[in-house]
Amino acid sequence: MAEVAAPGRAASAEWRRCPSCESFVYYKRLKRNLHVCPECNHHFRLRLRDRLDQLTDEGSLEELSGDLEQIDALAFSDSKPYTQRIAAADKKADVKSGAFYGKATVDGHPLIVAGIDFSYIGGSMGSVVGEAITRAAELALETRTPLLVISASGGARMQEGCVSLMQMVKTSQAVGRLNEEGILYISLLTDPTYGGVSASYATLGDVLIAEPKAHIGFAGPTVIEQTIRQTLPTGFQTAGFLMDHGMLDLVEKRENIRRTIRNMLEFHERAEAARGEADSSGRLPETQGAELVSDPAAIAGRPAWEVVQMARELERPHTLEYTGLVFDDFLELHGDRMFEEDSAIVGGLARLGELSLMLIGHQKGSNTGEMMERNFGMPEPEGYRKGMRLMRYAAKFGMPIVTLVDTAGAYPGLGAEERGQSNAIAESILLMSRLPVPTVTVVTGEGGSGGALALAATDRVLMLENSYYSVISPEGCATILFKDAASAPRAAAALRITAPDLLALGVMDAVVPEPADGAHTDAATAGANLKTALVTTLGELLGKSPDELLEQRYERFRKFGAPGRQPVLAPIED
Amino acid sequence: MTVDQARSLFEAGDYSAAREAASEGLRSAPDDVELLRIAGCAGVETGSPESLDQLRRVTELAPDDARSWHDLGDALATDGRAEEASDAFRKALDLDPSDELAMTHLGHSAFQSGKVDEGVKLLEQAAERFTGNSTAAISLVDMYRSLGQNEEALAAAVKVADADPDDRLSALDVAELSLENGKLDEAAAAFDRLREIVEGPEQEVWVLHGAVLVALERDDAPRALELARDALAIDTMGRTAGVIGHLEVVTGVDPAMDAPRDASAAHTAAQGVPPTRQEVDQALRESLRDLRLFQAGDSRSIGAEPVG
Repeated sequence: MAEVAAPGRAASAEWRRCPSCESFVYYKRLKRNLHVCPECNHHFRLRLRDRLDQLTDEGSLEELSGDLEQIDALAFSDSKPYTQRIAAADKKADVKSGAFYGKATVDGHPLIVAGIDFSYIGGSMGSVVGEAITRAAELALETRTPLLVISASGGARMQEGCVSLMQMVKTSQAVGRLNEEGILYISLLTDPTYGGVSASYATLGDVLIAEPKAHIGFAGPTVIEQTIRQTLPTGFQTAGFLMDHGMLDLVEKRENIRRTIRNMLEFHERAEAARGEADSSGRLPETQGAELVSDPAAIAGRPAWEVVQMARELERPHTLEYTGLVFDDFLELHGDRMFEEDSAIVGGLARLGELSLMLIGHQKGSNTGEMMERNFGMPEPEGYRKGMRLMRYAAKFGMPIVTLVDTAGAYPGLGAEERGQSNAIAESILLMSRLPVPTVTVVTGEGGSGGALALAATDRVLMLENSYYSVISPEGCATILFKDAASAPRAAAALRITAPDLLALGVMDAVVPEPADGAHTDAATAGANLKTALVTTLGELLGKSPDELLEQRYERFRKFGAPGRQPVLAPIED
Repeated sequence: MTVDQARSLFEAGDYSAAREAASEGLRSAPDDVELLRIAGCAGVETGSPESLDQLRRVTELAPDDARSWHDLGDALATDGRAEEASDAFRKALDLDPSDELAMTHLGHSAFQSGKVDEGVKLLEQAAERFTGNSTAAISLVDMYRSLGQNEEALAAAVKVADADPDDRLSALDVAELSLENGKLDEAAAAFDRLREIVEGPEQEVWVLHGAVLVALERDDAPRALELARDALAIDTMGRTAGVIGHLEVVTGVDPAMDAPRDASAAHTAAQGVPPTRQEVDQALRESLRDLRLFQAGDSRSIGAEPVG
C-alpha cells in the first residue's frame, strides 16, 4: 500500500490567538471561516492576496501591477534610509510593492480591482499605491468596467513627503472621472483605513462597504484624545460608528461581502444595458394587480377622517415591506455622508423585472420599538440628504427613481432646525424637479406636507386609495383654523386630502386601488396593485428622453394655481 | 487514477484535484485506506462535508495507525468539534508518543476547554521535547501571560525570540515582559532590537514610546525626554505631544530655550496642560498595545500560510 506523506499535518501546526476574545483558534478552522473568529466574530486582518482570493473567481485574477516600482523622490532617511525600508518590506511582501491592480471577475461579472496590502509599511500611500489606484481607475474608465478598491492603510507615506500628499489628488481626480462617466466605483474599507487614504479616493466610492468593527477615520483616536483632552466614546471610529454617522452604505460581515459586490454588479449591469436602449420598458415584468384608476368618480370615496385613520394603521405596509411585496430584489444603502444615518428614510437599489431602479421611501415602523428607532417616519435633514445622495446616484447611472411617501411630516425638532431642515427639504424638491431620469411617487399612507413633498416632486404622483396627502395634519388645521382640535374630521374633509379630490385637483395622476378593507388587511394584494401601478407608470416614462421628462415635469407642477389651468372643486355639501 | 497521482496533487497543494482523483479511485476501491485518507484530508482543505466520514472510515480500517487518528483530529478541530478532536488527538498520541503536533493540539484544546494546567503541561512538554515546535512555545507565552506568570512567559518569549530574531512579536513580548518583570536593562535592549526590525516610522514611534516607559521606570527623565524627542521627530500623528509636555515639566526644560521647535507645538497640542505621569504611562502603554495589534495582523500574519 502506497503511503501518503502525512497529508494535512504540516498545515495543521498552527493555532491563532484571537486578539479580541483571546481564544486559541485552530488555524484551519479560522481559515475555513474566512479568518473570522468563530468564538467572537472578530474579523482578523487579511493580507491582500487572501482578500482577493476570497472576493474574486478562482483563476480570474489578472495582475497588471507587476511593473510598479517604488520611487525615493526625496532621497529620504529617518533612522534608516527609505530605500532600506523598502528593501526590507519587499523581502516579506505578499504583494509586490504593497499595491495591486488588475482585472478579475466575481461570479462571472467583470471588474477592475485594486488594493493595498497593510502589511507593507502599514499600507501607507506612496507613489506606488497612488499609481496602482489611478491606473485601475483609468482602466475602468477606458473599458467602462466597474472598479473595486480594497483599502487598508495608516495614511500618507511620510517618506515620500509631498509626493505622497499629491497621491490624494491623483487618485481622487481619477475616480472623479469615473464619477463623471457613470462608472460604478465600490470602495471596500478594511481595518484600518486612515489619514490620506480615507481622506481621498477610499471614501469617494459610489458605495462604501466596511467590515464590522473596522477602524476608519482621519486622525487616530490617541491623537484626538491628546488634542482635545477628552475620552472618546466606546466604538469611536469603528465601522458601526461611521455607519451611525451616515458615512457608510453597508457594514457587511466578511462572508457576505462577495455576494453584496456581485449583487451591486448585477444591478449596474442591468442599468448599463438599459441606458443603451431607447425604451427599456420591455424590462418590466408582467403583473397581476388591479389597474390604476384615473377617474375620481370611479373611486368609492370614504369619509376623509376615516381615510386618515386607515392611512395611519400600524399594520399598513411601509417601504421596506413593499420591497418584498413589489420588487424582485433590493439592496439597502445607507448614509448621508455628512452627519447621521436617518432610518426614517430608507433607500437602495431595487429590481423590477429586469429593470434596476432606485427606491427611496419613508419608513415608520410597525411596533413601538421600531417606530422609536425610525422616529415614527419623521425624517430629520439627514434623511432627506441621504435621499438626495441616492437620487444623484440614480441619475448618474441612468436609473429610474421610485419614491414611496408615508410620513406625518418632517421632524419638528431643535436639532433638525439647527442642521437646516428647511434647506434639506428645499434642496430635495429642487433636485427632484431637475432629475434627468424617470421618477414616480406613490403616497402609500400619510402624505404629511413638506416632509412628504420632499420625496414627491416627480414625473408621476400616485396615491393608494386609502392614503391622504395634505398641507397640514387635520388636527393641526382644526386647531389653527377651526380653533378646536375636535374638529379634525371636519378639517380633514375641508382640506380635500383624499384620493378622489386630489385626483380631481390634478395633484395626483392616478390612484392605486386597495383591497376592500384597506392595505393593512391584505398586504399581498396591496403589493400586487402597487406593482402594477409602478409597471404601468414606468412603462409610460421609460421611452422619454431626459429633455422630455424635464419639460413635462416642469409643466406638471407649473399648472398648479395658474388661472384657467387649476381645476376647482365643487363645495362640500353639508 | 493511482494513489501516487492523487498524492502528487495533494502535495502540490491542488486539493480539489487531489480530492477528485482520490474519489475517482475510490469508485473501484471504496475501502482503499490511502485513497480515503487523501480524499478526506483534501476535503478538509476544501471544506468538503464528506471528509469527516472518510477519515472516520480510515480509523476503522486502520485503527492502530496513529496518523489516521491524527488526521481525524485535524478534521474535527477544523470543524470546531473540540472535544471529539481532543479524543482523536489523544488516541494518536497514545499510539505515537512522538507525535508532537498531536501533543500541541491536545494542549491547546485542553487550555481552551478550561483544563488550564493540563494544557500548559502538554505544551511545555511539546516545547521541550520538540525544540522546532514554535507553535507550542508561542502559545505558552500567551498562556503564561494570561495566568499572570510573567517570569515563565518571559523565559518562553526569550526562547521564541532566540529561535527567530526577526520575529517582531517575540521581540515585543521580550521587551514588554522584561519591563513587567522589572528587568529594565533587558527591556531597554529589547526595545532597541525592536526598533531595528520594525518597518516604518509609525511603528518606530510606538517602540520609542516603550523605550520612554523604560526610562521613566528608571526615573531617568532626561533620557525619557531624549527618546520622546526622537519619537516626536518622526511622529506625524502627534501621539508624542502630551508625553513631551509632561517630560518638559518634570525635567524643568524651558521649551522656548531648549527644546526643538516641535516641542512648542506639542505643548500647544496638549492645550498647555501637560498630562500627569499616570496619563503618560497610560498613553505609552496604549502605544505598545497598538504596536501589538499592528504586529498581530502583520508578522505572524493571519492570512499568511502557517509554517509547519
